[in-house]
Amino acid sequence: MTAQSLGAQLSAEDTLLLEQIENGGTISCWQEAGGRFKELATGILLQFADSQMAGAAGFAPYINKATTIEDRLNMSTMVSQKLSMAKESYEVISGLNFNVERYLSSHCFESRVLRDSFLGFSRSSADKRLNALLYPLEGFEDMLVFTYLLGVMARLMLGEFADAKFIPLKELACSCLPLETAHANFALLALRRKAESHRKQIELSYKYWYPRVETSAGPTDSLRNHWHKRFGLKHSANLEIKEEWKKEVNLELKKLALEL
Amino acid sequence: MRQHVTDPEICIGCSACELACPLKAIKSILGRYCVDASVCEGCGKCIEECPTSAADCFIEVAEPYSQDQQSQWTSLPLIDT
Repeated sequence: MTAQSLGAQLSAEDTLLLEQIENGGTISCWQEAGGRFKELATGILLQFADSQMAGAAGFAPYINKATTIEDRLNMSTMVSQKLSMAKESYEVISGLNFNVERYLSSHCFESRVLRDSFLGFSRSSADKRLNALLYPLEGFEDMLVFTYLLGVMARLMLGEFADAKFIPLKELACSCLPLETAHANFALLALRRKAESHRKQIELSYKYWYPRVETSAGPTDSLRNHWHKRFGLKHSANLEIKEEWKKEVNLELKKLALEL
Repeated sequence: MRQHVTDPEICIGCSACELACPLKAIKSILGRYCVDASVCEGCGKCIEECPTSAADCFIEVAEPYSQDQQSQWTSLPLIDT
Protein backbone atom coordinates (compact mmCIF):
# COMPACT_ATOMS: atom_id res chain seq x y z
CA MET A 1 0.00 0.00 0.00
CA THR A 2 1.38 3.38 -0.90
CA ALA A 3 1.58 6.37 1.42
CA GLN A 4 -0.25 8.28 -1.28
CA SER A 5 -3.21 5.94 -1.30
CA LEU A 6 -3.57 5.76 2.45
CA GLY A 7 -2.28 8.81 4.20
CA ALA A 8 -2.39 11.75 1.88
CA GLN A 9 -6.04 12.06 1.05
CA LEU A 10 -8.28 11.17 3.95
CA SER A 11 -11.90 12.08 3.37
CA ALA A 12 -13.86 14.17 5.86
CA GLU A 13 -15.64 10.98 7.02
CA ASP A 14 -12.31 9.21 7.63
CA THR A 15 -10.86 12.16 9.53
CA LEU A 16 -13.95 12.28 11.72
CA LEU A 17 -13.74 8.54 12.23
CA LEU A 18 -10.11 8.80 13.37
CA GLU A 19 -11.07 11.46 15.90
CA GLN A 20 -13.96 9.32 17.09
CA ILE A 21 -11.68 6.29 17.55
CA GLU A 22 -8.94 8.31 19.24
CA ASN A 23 -11.59 9.49 21.71
CA GLY A 24 -12.54 5.91 22.54
CA GLY A 25 -15.52 5.65 20.20
CA THR A 26 -16.62 2.69 18.09
CA ILE A 27 -17.97 2.30 14.54
CA SER A 28 -21.17 0.36 14.31
CA CYS A 29 -21.87 0.26 10.56
CA TRP A 30 -20.48 1.02 7.11
CA GLN A 31 -22.58 4.18 6.80
CA GLU A 32 -20.22 5.90 9.23
CA ALA A 33 -17.15 4.94 7.19
CA GLY A 34 -15.08 6.85 4.65
CA GLY A 35 -13.10 5.40 1.72
CA ARG A 36 -9.88 4.57 3.58
CA PHE A 37 -11.70 2.84 6.39
CA LYS A 38 -13.79 0.81 3.93
CA GLU A 39 -10.66 -0.23 2.05
CA LEU A 40 -8.85 -1.35 5.21
CA ALA A 41 -11.78 -3.09 6.87
CA THR A 42 -12.84 -4.81 3.65
CA GLY A 43 -9.24 -5.93 3.14
CA ILE A 44 -9.29 -7.69 6.52
CA LEU A 45 -12.75 -9.20 6.04
CA LEU A 46 -12.05 -10.42 2.54
CA GLN A 47 -8.68 -11.87 3.49
CA PHE A 48 -10.38 -13.78 6.27
CA ALA A 49 -13.33 -14.95 4.15
CA ASP A 50 -11.19 -15.95 1.16
CA SER A 51 -8.76 -17.77 3.44
CA GLN A 52 -11.64 -19.75 4.92
CA MET A 53 -12.88 -20.60 1.42
CA ALA A 54 -9.42 -21.70 0.32
CA GLY A 55 -8.97 -23.64 3.56
CA ALA A 56 -12.26 -25.48 3.10
CA ALA A 57 -11.33 -26.30 -0.51
CA GLY A 58 -7.92 -27.62 0.57
CA PHE A 59 -9.20 -29.64 3.53
CA ALA A 60 -12.21 -31.27 1.85
CA PRO A 61 -10.21 -34.08 0.16
CA TYR A 62 -8.70 -34.96 3.55
CA ILE A 63 -12.05 -36.02 4.98
CA ASN A 64 -11.63 -39.31 3.13
CA LYS A 65 -7.95 -39.56 3.95
CA ALA A 66 -8.44 -39.65 7.72
CA THR A 67 -7.93 -43.15 9.10
CA THR A 68 -10.56 -43.04 11.85
CA ILE A 69 -14.21 -42.16 11.59
CA GLU A 70 -13.67 -39.71 14.43
CA ASP A 71 -11.08 -37.83 12.40
CA ARG A 72 -13.34 -37.91 9.33
CA LEU A 73 -16.04 -36.29 11.42
CA ASN A 74 -13.55 -33.74 12.75
CA MET A 75 -12.39 -32.93 9.23
CA SER A 76 -15.90 -32.57 7.84
CA THR A 77 -16.88 -30.34 10.77
CA MET A 78 -13.83 -28.22 10.13
CA VAL A 79 -14.67 -27.84 6.43
CA SER A 80 -18.26 -26.96 7.26
CA GLN A 81 -17.23 -24.43 9.90
CA LYS A 82 -14.73 -22.79 7.56
CA LEU A 83 -17.47 -22.25 5.00
CA SER A 84 -19.77 -20.85 7.70
CA MET A 85 -17.09 -18.40 8.82
CA ALA A 86 -16.54 -17.33 5.21
CA LYS A 87 -20.28 -16.79 4.77
CA GLU A 88 -20.48 -14.70 7.92
CA SER A 89 -17.57 -12.54 6.79
CA TYR A 90 -18.92 -12.02 3.25
CA GLU A 91 -22.24 -11.01 4.81
CA VAL A 92 -20.53 -8.11 6.57
CA ILE A 93 -19.01 -6.92 3.26
CA SER A 94 -22.29 -7.33 1.40
CA GLY A 95 -23.43 -4.25 3.35
CA LEU A 96 -21.26 -2.29 0.90
CA ASN A 97 -23.20 -3.24 -2.22
CA PHE A 98 -20.77 -6.12 -2.72
CA ASN A 99 -22.26 -8.98 -4.73
CA VAL A 100 -20.94 -12.09 -2.98
CA GLU A 101 -22.17 -14.55 -5.62
CA ARG A 102 -20.54 -12.56 -8.38
CA TYR A 103 -17.30 -12.45 -6.42
CA LEU A 104 -17.32 -16.17 -5.65
CA SER A 105 -18.07 -17.12 -9.23
CA SER A 106 -15.00 -15.26 -10.46
CA HIS A 107 -12.50 -16.87 -8.11
CA CYS A 108 -11.12 -20.38 -7.80
CA PHE A 109 -10.36 -21.18 -4.19
CA GLU A 110 -8.95 -24.59 -5.07
CA SER A 111 -6.05 -23.10 -7.02
CA ARG A 112 -2.58 -23.63 -5.57
CA VAL A 113 0.99 -22.79 -6.57
CA LEU A 114 3.75 -25.38 -6.93
CA ARG A 115 4.74 -26.97 -3.64
CA ASP A 116 8.37 -25.82 -3.84
CA SER A 117 7.58 -22.15 -4.42
CA PHE A 118 8.03 -19.52 -1.76
CA LEU A 119 5.94 -16.39 -2.23
CA GLY A 120 6.99 -14.39 0.80
CA PHE A 121 4.72 -11.35 0.93
CA SER A 122 4.20 -11.06 -2.82
CA ARG A 123 0.64 -11.41 -4.09
CA SER A 124 -0.01 -14.18 -6.55
CA SER A 125 -3.74 -14.76 -6.56
CA ALA A 126 -6.69 -12.63 -7.59
CA ASP A 127 -8.56 -13.50 -4.42
CA LYS A 128 -7.36 -12.13 -1.10
CA ARG A 129 -6.49 -15.28 0.82
CA LEU A 130 -3.36 -15.43 2.97
CA ASN A 131 -0.38 -16.64 0.94
CA ALA A 132 -0.06 -19.69 3.22
CA LEU A 133 -3.31 -20.93 1.67
CA LEU A 134 -1.82 -20.88 -1.80
CA TYR A 135 0.55 -23.78 -1.15
CA PRO A 136 -0.68 -27.33 -1.65
CA LEU A 137 -1.01 -29.87 1.16
CA GLU A 138 0.88 -33.13 0.87
CA GLY A 139 -0.58 -35.89 3.01
CA PHE A 140 -2.59 -36.12 6.20
CA GLU A 141 0.24 -35.32 8.63
CA ASP A 142 1.26 -32.39 6.47
CA MET A 143 -2.32 -31.13 6.65
CA LEU A 144 -2.26 -31.44 10.44
CA VAL A 145 0.98 -29.44 10.75
CA PHE A 146 -0.41 -26.74 8.47
CA THR A 147 -3.73 -26.64 10.35
CA TYR A 148 -1.98 -26.30 13.68
CA LEU A 149 0.45 -23.59 12.57
CA LEU A 150 -2.12 -21.52 10.72
CA GLY A 151 -4.77 -22.18 13.38
CA VAL A 152 -2.55 -20.59 16.04
CA MET A 153 -1.95 -17.63 13.73
CA ALA A 154 -5.69 -17.30 13.03
CA ARG A 155 -6.45 -17.40 16.74
CA LEU A 156 -3.97 -14.58 17.43
CA MET A 157 -5.37 -12.50 14.55
CA LEU A 158 -8.96 -13.04 15.63
CA GLY A 159 -7.92 -12.10 19.16
CA GLU A 160 -6.83 -8.75 17.70
CA PHE A 161 -10.06 -8.28 15.77
CA ALA A 162 -12.13 -9.26 18.82
CA ASP A 163 -10.97 -5.93 20.30
CA ALA A 164 -11.65 -3.95 17.11
CA LYS A 165 -13.49 -0.64 17.24
CA PHE A 166 -15.49 -1.71 14.18
CA ILE A 167 -18.36 -3.61 15.77
CA PRO A 168 -19.24 -5.94 12.84
CA LEU A 169 -15.58 -7.10 12.74
CA LYS A 170 -15.50 -7.49 16.50
CA GLU A 171 -18.66 -9.61 16.45
CA LEU A 172 -17.38 -11.75 13.59
CA ALA A 173 -14.09 -12.36 15.40
CA CYS A 174 -15.82 -13.26 18.66
CA SER A 175 -18.00 -15.76 16.83
CA CYS A 176 -15.10 -17.33 14.87
CA LEU A 177 -12.49 -17.39 17.61
CA PRO A 178 -13.74 -20.59 19.33
CA LEU A 179 -13.98 -22.39 15.97
CA GLU A 180 -10.44 -21.52 14.88
CA THR A 181 -9.18 -22.44 18.35
CA ALA A 182 -10.89 -25.82 18.06
CA HIS A 183 -9.35 -26.43 14.62
CA ALA A 184 -5.85 -25.72 15.92
CA ASN A 185 -6.48 -27.96 18.95
CA PHE A 186 -7.79 -30.80 16.80
CA ALA A 187 -4.61 -30.69 14.73
CA LEU A 188 -2.35 -30.39 17.77
CA LEU A 189 -3.94 -33.36 19.54
CA ALA A 190 -3.63 -35.46 16.39
CA LEU A 191 0.02 -34.40 16.01
CA ARG A 192 0.74 -35.35 19.61
CA ARG A 193 -0.71 -38.81 18.91
CA LYS A 194 1.36 -39.20 15.77
CA ALA A 195 4.57 -37.54 16.94
CA GLU A 196 6.35 -40.85 17.52
CA SER A 197 5.02 -42.91 14.64
CA HIS A 198 5.34 -40.17 11.98
CA ARG A 199 8.24 -38.15 13.37
CA LYS A 200 10.19 -37.73 10.14
CA GLN A 201 7.17 -36.66 8.08
CA ILE A 202 5.99 -34.23 10.77
CA GLU A 203 9.46 -32.67 11.06
CA LEU A 204 9.66 -32.21 7.30
CA SER A 205 6.22 -30.61 7.26
CA TYR A 206 7.17 -28.24 10.08
CA LYS A 207 10.26 -27.21 8.14
CA TYR A 208 8.14 -26.61 5.07
CA TRP A 209 5.22 -24.76 6.67
CA TYR A 210 6.92 -22.72 9.40
CA PRO A 211 8.34 -19.97 7.14
CA ARG A 212 5.25 -20.01 4.90
CA VAL A 213 2.78 -19.54 7.75
CA GLU A 214 5.06 -17.08 9.54
CA THR A 215 4.50 -14.51 6.75
CA SER A 216 0.77 -14.51 7.58
CA ALA A 217 1.50 -12.05 10.40
CA GLY A 218 2.35 -9.51 7.70
CA PRO A 219 5.52 -7.52 7.01
CA THR A 220 7.26 -5.83 9.94
CA ASP A 221 7.40 -2.34 8.44
CA SER A 222 3.82 -2.34 7.14
CA LEU A 223 2.11 0.97 6.45
CA ARG A 224 -1.19 -0.90 6.31
CA ASN A 225 -0.56 -2.17 9.85
CA HIS A 226 0.00 1.41 10.99
CA TRP A 227 -3.39 2.44 9.58
CA HIS A 228 -5.12 -0.67 10.91
CA LYS A 229 -4.02 0.44 14.36
CA ARG A 230 -5.06 4.06 13.84
CA PHE A 231 -8.51 3.01 12.70
CA GLY A 232 -8.88 0.64 15.66
CA LEU A 233 -9.02 -2.49 13.51
CA LYS A 234 -5.97 -4.00 15.22
CA HIS A 235 -3.94 -2.99 18.25
CA SER A 236 -0.69 -4.93 17.89
CA ALA A 237 2.16 -4.54 15.45
CA ASN A 238 2.65 -7.36 12.94
CA LEU A 239 6.01 -8.11 14.53
CA GLU A 240 4.40 -8.59 17.96
CA ILE A 241 1.89 -11.08 16.52
CA LYS A 242 4.65 -12.96 14.73
CA GLU A 243 6.74 -13.15 17.91
CA GLU A 244 3.77 -14.39 19.92
CA TRP A 245 3.07 -17.05 17.28
CA LYS A 246 6.70 -18.17 17.24
CA LYS A 247 6.81 -18.37 21.02
CA GLU A 248 3.73 -20.57 21.23
CA VAL A 249 4.62 -22.80 18.29
CA ASN A 250 8.26 -23.22 19.35
CA LEU A 251 7.14 -24.26 22.82
CA GLU A 252 4.92 -26.94 21.31
CA LEU A 253 7.72 -28.13 19.01
CA LYS A 254 9.91 -28.51 22.06
CA LYS A 255 7.24 -30.49 23.92
CA LEU A 256 6.91 -32.82 20.94
CA ALA A 257 10.72 -33.08 20.78
CA LEU A 258 10.59 -32.09 17.11
CA GLU A 259 13.57 -30.57 15.39
CA LEU A 260 13.29 -27.78 12.87
CA MET B 1 -9.86 -4.21 -28.06
CA ARG B 2 -9.47 -4.98 -24.38
CA GLN B 3 -10.74 -2.25 -22.05
CA HIS B 4 -9.87 -1.90 -18.40
CA VAL B 5 -12.93 -1.12 -16.25
CA THR B 6 -14.02 -1.70 -12.65
CA ASP B 7 -16.66 -4.29 -11.82
CA PRO B 8 -19.68 -2.40 -10.41
CA GLU B 9 -20.97 -5.48 -8.60
CA ILE B 10 -17.95 -5.93 -6.38
CA CYS B 11 -16.64 -2.36 -6.17
CA ILE B 12 -17.18 -1.01 -2.65
CA GLY B 13 -16.46 2.57 -3.66
CA CYS B 14 -13.42 3.09 -1.43
CA SER B 15 -11.43 5.12 -4.03
CA ALA B 16 -8.20 3.11 -3.58
CA CYS B 17 -7.95 2.69 -7.37
CA GLU B 18 -8.38 6.40 -8.03
CA LEU B 19 -5.67 7.28 -5.52
CA ALA B 20 -3.32 4.58 -6.77
CA CYS B 21 -3.48 5.56 -10.44
CA PRO B 22 -0.30 7.48 -11.35
CA LEU B 23 -1.95 8.84 -14.52
CA LYS B 24 -5.23 9.96 -12.92
CA ALA B 25 -7.07 7.72 -15.37
CA ILE B 26 -9.73 6.75 -12.83
CA LYS B 27 -12.34 9.09 -11.43
CA SER B 28 -15.51 8.78 -9.43
CA ILE B 29 -18.71 9.74 -11.24
CA LEU B 30 -21.93 9.24 -9.29
CA GLY B 31 -19.97 7.05 -6.89
CA ARG B 32 -18.80 4.71 -9.67
CA TYR B 33 -15.08 4.42 -10.39
CA CYS B 34 -14.62 4.82 -14.13
CA VAL B 35 -11.45 4.29 -16.16
CA ASP B 36 -10.50 6.63 -18.99
CA ALA B 37 -9.39 4.23 -21.74
CA SER B 38 -7.43 6.96 -23.52
CA VAL B 39 -5.28 7.59 -20.43
CA CYS B 40 -4.92 4.16 -18.76
CA GLU B 41 -1.67 2.41 -19.68
CA GLY B 42 -2.47 -0.77 -17.79
CA CYS B 43 0.25 -0.43 -15.14
CA GLY B 44 -1.87 -2.41 -12.67
CA LYS B 45 -1.30 -0.15 -9.62
CA CYS B 46 -5.06 0.12 -9.11
CA ILE B 47 -5.40 -3.66 -9.16
CA GLU B 48 -2.73 -3.98 -6.47
CA GLU B 49 -4.56 -1.55 -4.20
CA CYS B 50 -8.16 -2.64 -4.79
CA PRO B 51 -9.34 -4.55 -1.69
CA THR B 52 -11.96 -6.59 -3.58
CA SER B 53 -10.35 -7.18 -7.02
CA ALA B 54 -13.05 -5.01 -8.61
CA ALA B 55 -10.29 -3.17 -10.49
CA ASP B 56 -8.98 -6.45 -11.88
CA CYS B 57 -11.54 -6.37 -14.67
CA PHE B 58 -11.09 -6.27 -18.44
CA ILE B 59 -13.71 -6.52 -21.17
CA GLU B 60 -13.50 -7.00 -24.91
CA VAL B 61 -15.05 -4.07 -26.78
CA ALA B 62 -15.25 -2.76 -30.32
CA GLU B 63 -15.17 0.85 -29.07
CA PRO B 64 -14.14 1.78 -25.53
CA TYR B 65 -16.89 2.89 -23.15
CA SER B 66 -16.58 6.48 -21.97
CA GLN B 67 -16.34 7.26 -18.26
CA ASP B 68 -19.85 8.73 -18.38
CA GLN B 69 -21.19 5.49 -19.86
CA GLN B 70 -19.38 3.43 -17.21
CA SER B 71 -20.90 5.60 -14.48
CA GLN B 72 -24.36 4.31 -15.41
CA TRP B 73 -23.50 0.63 -14.98
CA THR B 74 -24.96 -1.45 -12.19
CA SER B 75 -23.30 -4.53 -13.67
CA LEU B 76 -20.84 -5.14 -16.49
CA PRO B 77 -22.35 -4.73 -19.96
CA LEU B 78 -23.24 -7.92 -21.82
CA ILE B 79 -20.52 -8.58 -24.32
CA ASP B 80 -21.19 -10.13 -27.74
CA THR B 81 -18.49 -12.66 -28.42
